[in-house]
Amino acid sequence: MAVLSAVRRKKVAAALMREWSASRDVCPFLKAAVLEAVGDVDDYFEDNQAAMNSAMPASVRSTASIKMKADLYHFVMWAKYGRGPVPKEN
Amino acid sequence: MARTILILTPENARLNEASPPEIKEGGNGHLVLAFDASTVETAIWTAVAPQGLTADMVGEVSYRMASATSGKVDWELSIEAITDDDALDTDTTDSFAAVNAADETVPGTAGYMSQLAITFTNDDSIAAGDMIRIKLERDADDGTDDTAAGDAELLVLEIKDGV
Repeated sequence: MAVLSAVRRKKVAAALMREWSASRDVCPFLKAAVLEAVGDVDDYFEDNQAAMNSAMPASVRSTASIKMKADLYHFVMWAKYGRGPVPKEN
Repeated sequence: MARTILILTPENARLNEASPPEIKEGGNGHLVLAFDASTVETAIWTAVAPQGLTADMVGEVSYRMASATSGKVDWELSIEAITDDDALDTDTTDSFAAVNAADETVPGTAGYMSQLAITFTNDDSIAAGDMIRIKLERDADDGTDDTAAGDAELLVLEIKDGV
């Protein structure tokens, strides 16, 4: 999968800032740094997607769609940091 | 001596259909217009220029940042003044004067209110009794003068004369 286009990266950065504004997360960095961070994370995923894929069991690796793998990563990350649809543990 | 001639609030703004700031209760009962960090958004108020109007108008933008604690924000005000029998088809055309702008470093704590004065150097030759529209935008695509991340929230806009 190719990296996001420059336009998509800008949209991601804009959406992130709207999210952080809505949740009142403090942003001591400038908006140019948000865009740069989006690009860096996008590049990281691109550079490491093969390794992430290899870490999965063969049954998932060979049959799950890209969307499902993105969901998998997304759900795990959010559960680790207390966000998303997986309920927090009591 | 400076005199307040208009107090323009978020709930009285007409929001641009294509790119409106979000009107919302931004916490603690303050109704705000939240101007995006990435897209230029527009709010417009309609009023009548008061009798006894003098020159040297200034717009005082009272705002806070939703999340930013560093960087700058760039606000722009422009005015359209329409006199009785002006040859302007208001159905199809607007005639805002050139933008008046100012920028500043945002408060070091998100949520703290700051007031930024913008001089109406370009006032469209406003005269008492004119129907006027005042347009406010955040110059979100100015990479030099608008660098703060996240929403800039307008709390209230004061227009003064005699400054």
